[in-house]
Amino acid sequence: MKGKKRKLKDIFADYQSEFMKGIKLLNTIINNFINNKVDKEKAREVIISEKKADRLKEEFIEYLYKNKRALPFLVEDRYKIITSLDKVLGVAEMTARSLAVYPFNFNSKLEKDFSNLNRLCFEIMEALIKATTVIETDFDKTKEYLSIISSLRRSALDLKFQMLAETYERMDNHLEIILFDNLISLLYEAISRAEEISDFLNGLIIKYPSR
Amino acid sequence: MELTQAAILIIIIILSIVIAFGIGSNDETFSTIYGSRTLQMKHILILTTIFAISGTLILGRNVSKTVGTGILTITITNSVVITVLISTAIWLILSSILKLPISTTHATIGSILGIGLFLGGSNSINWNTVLVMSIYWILSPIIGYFVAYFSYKIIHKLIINKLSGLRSFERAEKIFSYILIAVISINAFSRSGNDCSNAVGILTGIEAGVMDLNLALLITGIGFSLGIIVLGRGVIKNVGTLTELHPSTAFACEIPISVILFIGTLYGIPLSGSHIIVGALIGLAKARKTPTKKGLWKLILIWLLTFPASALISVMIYFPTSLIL
Repeated sequence: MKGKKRKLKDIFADYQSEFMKGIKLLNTIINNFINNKVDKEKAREVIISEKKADRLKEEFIEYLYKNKRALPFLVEDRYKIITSLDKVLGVAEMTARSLAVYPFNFNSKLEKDFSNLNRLCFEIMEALIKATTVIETDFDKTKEYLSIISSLRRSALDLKFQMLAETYERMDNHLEIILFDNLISLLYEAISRAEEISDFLNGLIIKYPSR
Repeated sequence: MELTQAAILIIIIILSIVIAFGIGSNDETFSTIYGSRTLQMKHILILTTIFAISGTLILGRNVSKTVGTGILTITITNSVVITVLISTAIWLILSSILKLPISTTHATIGSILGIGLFLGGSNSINWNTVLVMSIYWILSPIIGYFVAYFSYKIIHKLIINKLSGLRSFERAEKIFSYILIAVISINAFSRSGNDCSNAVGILTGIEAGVMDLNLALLITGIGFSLGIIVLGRGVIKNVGTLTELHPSTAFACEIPISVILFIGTLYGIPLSGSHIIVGALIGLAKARKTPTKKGLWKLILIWLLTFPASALISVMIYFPTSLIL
């Protein structure tokens, strides 16, 4: 039984590192995009990373359901965690793909805000992955990460609308507005989904001790 | 063997299977294991079959159990015993079809009362014994309620509240589930041996010398397990889902109850296992502030109906039974 348990943990650890690899790549692509450099190669790497993570997710789910666990509802909770993380990575892939085909130069006036949003997204994802790790062993430590995610998400929301306001004011090209709006929304969607997972983890922390 | 003797033997075998089937059909021993999802139904049915047959073969040898002694003051004939057992089995089967757990002893006493009143009037009944038993049946769910309520609170405070991290919860629940399976398996083993003794008694008592004891035990063991497989699964599902269960909460419910039932048996207190477990599950739901399944009134109603219904069935069955035996 010990070997089996370690294996499930290992698959999840592999998934987490693939997830972070994809997020780091997206972070680099966005930084390059701000400097008007379209990095199609890195965008492809994000797609590859998402595919790898997808395979790991399937392996994890198969293992989760094929092996009897003491808490069947924990199987469902773990399933939800990994599938939700996968959706975040899916949005990251969509963002990378959109950046690779964006047909305009980046508006330099938005450089600082977009860079900040990019940083916040990365920090939120990092905290999320840490939270999904420590929830296995320490609820108090998990709460700390969840609180970080919550506060960073609020800053990200402010930034999103700040940038949208500036975009609508200054850009003349409607197509550029629509596409840039789409980019910001995609990036924020990843953040928003991360917060949904954070809320779910918070629910688990409350649910388990009060059973 | 003469033709008539062979025919009677076949009838007796069928009757003992029906009785064992009826008792098995209302056996809810594994309900908390099912409710807490510790084992799947197919595994539960395999285990119950193993314990039903082995329990009957090993523990069912003690066939000295008497039906009606202490309650009836009239002479208890073979036809009275058979009538009581068949009517009990019928009421158990009817309750099991409705997926409702009842007390086997409760149904047996109801049948005894019916036949006693019919044959000897109210003077043939030892009403004091009936009254004492009735008090314990009322007390049983109340005892179960409070025991489960407080044992959950204690386990929660001493163990669950001190856990942190999903892995530690999983580990604790795993330990709880192992203990639960072990205790309930012992319960199932002893219960099948004890409950089947009535059905075995018919085969060995009435047809003394004709039927081999091991064969009689095997037949009733199979009848008992068939009862669980065919109808008992519905009762197990119904009781197991009265409230949300996990191995730890099922543990909080089952273990103290097993201890109380053991003490009850030791001191000759006729507590009802079915009544206690239902009361305990309600107590557990109250302690956890979680809802119970709708339709609890059906349980109360069937408990109230058990006495008059089994009494009525026994009177109806007495005529054909007395003609055969």
